[in-house]
Amino acid sequence: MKNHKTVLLLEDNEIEIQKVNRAFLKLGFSNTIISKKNGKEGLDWLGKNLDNLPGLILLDLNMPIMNGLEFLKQVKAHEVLKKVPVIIMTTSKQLSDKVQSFENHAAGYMVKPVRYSEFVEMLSTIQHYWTTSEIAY
Amino acid sequence: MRLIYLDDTAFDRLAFERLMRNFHDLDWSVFSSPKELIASLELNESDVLIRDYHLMAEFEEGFEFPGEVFWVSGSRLTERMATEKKINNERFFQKPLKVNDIETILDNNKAGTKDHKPDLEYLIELSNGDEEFQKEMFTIFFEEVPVQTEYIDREKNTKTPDVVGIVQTVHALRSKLRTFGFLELDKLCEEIEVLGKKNEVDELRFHSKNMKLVEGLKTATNELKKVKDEMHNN
Repeated sequence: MKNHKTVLLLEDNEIEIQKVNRAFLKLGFSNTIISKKNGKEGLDWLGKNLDNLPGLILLDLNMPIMNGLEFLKQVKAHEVLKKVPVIIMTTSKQLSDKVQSFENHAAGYMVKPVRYSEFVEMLSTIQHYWTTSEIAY
Repeated sequence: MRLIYLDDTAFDRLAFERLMRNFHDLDWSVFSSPKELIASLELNESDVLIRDYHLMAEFEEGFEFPGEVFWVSGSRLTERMATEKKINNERFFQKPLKVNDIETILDNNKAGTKDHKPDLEYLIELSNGDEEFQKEMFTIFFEEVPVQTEYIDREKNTKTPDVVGIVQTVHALRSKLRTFGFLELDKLCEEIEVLGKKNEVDELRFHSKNMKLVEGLKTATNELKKVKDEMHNN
């Protein structure tokens, strides 16, 4: 893995993008965060960066054009991209969303908490586990 | 909020009147037919109707209630009844009505009638004292929420609501509502989002959650404007 510190964030909501960026800043993490507004944009970016894949993808489920689940299916069907861990980051507590995410090989499912401090804490754990461990692609 | 009870059985109307002695501050009325009700009251979206399921057909022909409707019956809710009138368990009660049934109905209606006050704790924590960032968040809220409120207001009464559009709109609202601490409205959006994902078009069309959300969003926007003005003046 050449660029394990890059995090690809797929999120169409500007406020949510800011929340993740500020959480990383607050935690003192130096990861580069690349944000894309929907699954299609995410796939396009990944397609151009196959030699320089991110260490982690943070994925919202509800996005226009191509939603999170469709993106996840396509990533996990791809010979190279399937190795990148994808964490679902959503407000949906629906069991069907969780089941479909794990059926499509999501590495984790994070329901965004109501308190910001809890959100930061969750991101800290995720970032630490997935972008600093030695994962061989 | 005004509670209206509609039942063509005199005994059940009396039972309801007796039950309502437990709710002193509530505005409520009892009627035996829609005709009598329409002749007596000017109805609006914030009214809540509790009606007998077996109201005689000639009593309700062409009757459409603008607010939230709850159903009561002496028997349990069957699949046929649920399908015929598009009723779910949350909106059905078995007679005799009890105090906690009324409390459930009142709780259900709270989101649309309460004063939505913002809680800036999340924003303060998120911004870490960065006033420019706070201003940016306020700007996003005031630019986007009124447009989204207007969209839901328009869609909620159409014959074929744009389900995908409604789901995306309430989803997009949630982030802003959470940031400014409007958690009850966030919960309401979540409920509507779930209905939309299940493609419950009739539920989306008729459900008063949409009405409550529109009212709530308007209140919340006004309340937030006051807070912003206060912050600005200080």
